[in-house]
Amino acid sequence: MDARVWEWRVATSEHPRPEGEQQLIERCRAGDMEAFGALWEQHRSAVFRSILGIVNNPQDAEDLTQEAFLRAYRALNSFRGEAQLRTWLVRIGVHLAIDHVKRKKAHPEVSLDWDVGGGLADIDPHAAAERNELRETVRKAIEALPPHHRAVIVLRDMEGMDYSEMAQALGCSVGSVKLRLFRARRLLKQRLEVLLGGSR
Amino acid sequence: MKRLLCRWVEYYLALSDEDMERALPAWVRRHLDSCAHCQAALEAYRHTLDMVHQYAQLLPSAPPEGWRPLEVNLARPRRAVSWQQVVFATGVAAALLWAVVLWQRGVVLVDEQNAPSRLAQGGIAPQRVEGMPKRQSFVSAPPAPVRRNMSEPQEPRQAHPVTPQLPAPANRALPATPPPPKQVVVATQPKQVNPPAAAHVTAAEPLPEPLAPVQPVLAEASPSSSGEVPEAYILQPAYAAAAGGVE
Repeated sequence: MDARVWEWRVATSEHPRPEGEQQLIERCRAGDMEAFGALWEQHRSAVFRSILGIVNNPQDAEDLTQEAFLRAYRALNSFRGEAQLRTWLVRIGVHLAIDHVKRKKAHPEVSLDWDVGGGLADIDPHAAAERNELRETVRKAIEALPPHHRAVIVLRDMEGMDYSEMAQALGCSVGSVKLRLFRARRLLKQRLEVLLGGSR
Repeated sequence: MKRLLCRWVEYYLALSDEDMERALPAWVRRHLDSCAHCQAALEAYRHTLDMVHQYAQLLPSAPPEGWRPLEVNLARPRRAVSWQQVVFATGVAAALLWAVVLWQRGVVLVDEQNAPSRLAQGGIAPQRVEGMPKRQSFVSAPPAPVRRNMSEPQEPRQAHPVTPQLPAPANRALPATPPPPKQVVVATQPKQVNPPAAAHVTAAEPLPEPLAPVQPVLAEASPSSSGEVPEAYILQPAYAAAAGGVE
């Protein structure tokens, strides 16, 4: 495995509870928008990436991230603190993303491509082409998955959550999470084999 | 065709991550050593996870810098009244209106049903439409039956004039017929409703003879000008019905 990916997984799998998060939550409940802005800065990346992995559209992911934080702000009094705030926020975002995918499946739209990584600083056109090919292949394979399977792939393989966190985020048991992850990975493997076999 | 054991092994292979070698059970590892198909599956899952991890690295990590539409959206004023409250208030208003309508209709029906009894009790006489022969004119009912001394002179009753309620053309179309003579029921003897109590009757006294039933006599009230008939003996139809006597 690539060392960079390994470091990323280790970094994302450890989510120590930030100091003063409970105080920030209490201040948010009292209507302090600065405290909510601090929570926004802490967790917006995780929520955005979770949503983006499911919807595969950065514009939609931005809108859904905003919507997820809005809902979290309005429902902050119902947060009991049993799970981490990040898990709770990701759960809101994942449910929004799943609903969005279902709605979009009923009313398909033309998805816009977006530029990721490198940009103008990328001076190796060969590496850029490989990266774009990889991105498109995996993206097509993930888009072929049902929304609930996309969610477990994103939470486990992109956000590095453990099974208990995934169960809290998805609102199901650990056994259901494992079974869903098994089916999702099997479907993803089959889909990638078809796509890579066709491209070769 | 895949064997059943290979299907079970695939479950572990799919769920195993980078630490798959340590997490796999011993019987799975023994099977992997002897099954080429499962070894290929293991490599395929590794390759799949590797691609997903690389794909995750290519995704943007956060929204664009300086993107703070949350403040704008939070500052957006919310609706003072939600649509649920509007629907609830509308429903309550409709229910109240319907209840008022039903109550009004119920009052009208009760009035229509109680009209004779109220008339007998001295209520307000309903207005009649001119042109109805039998009810064109009538004598209004007296007030509620109050036991009064028959010897006292009674004030003469006045018949309420009937006001036409039809519109002018229809009213003009009706023939101008003279009002028929008033008919009143004259009873020769007021009917005794309650028989005398037995406690008042002594054993020495003989029982009084039962009174003869009242025989109504129709007499012309107008143009009778004699005035011989005492006013107290003039029973109005409704009064007689209320008293349980003749109708």
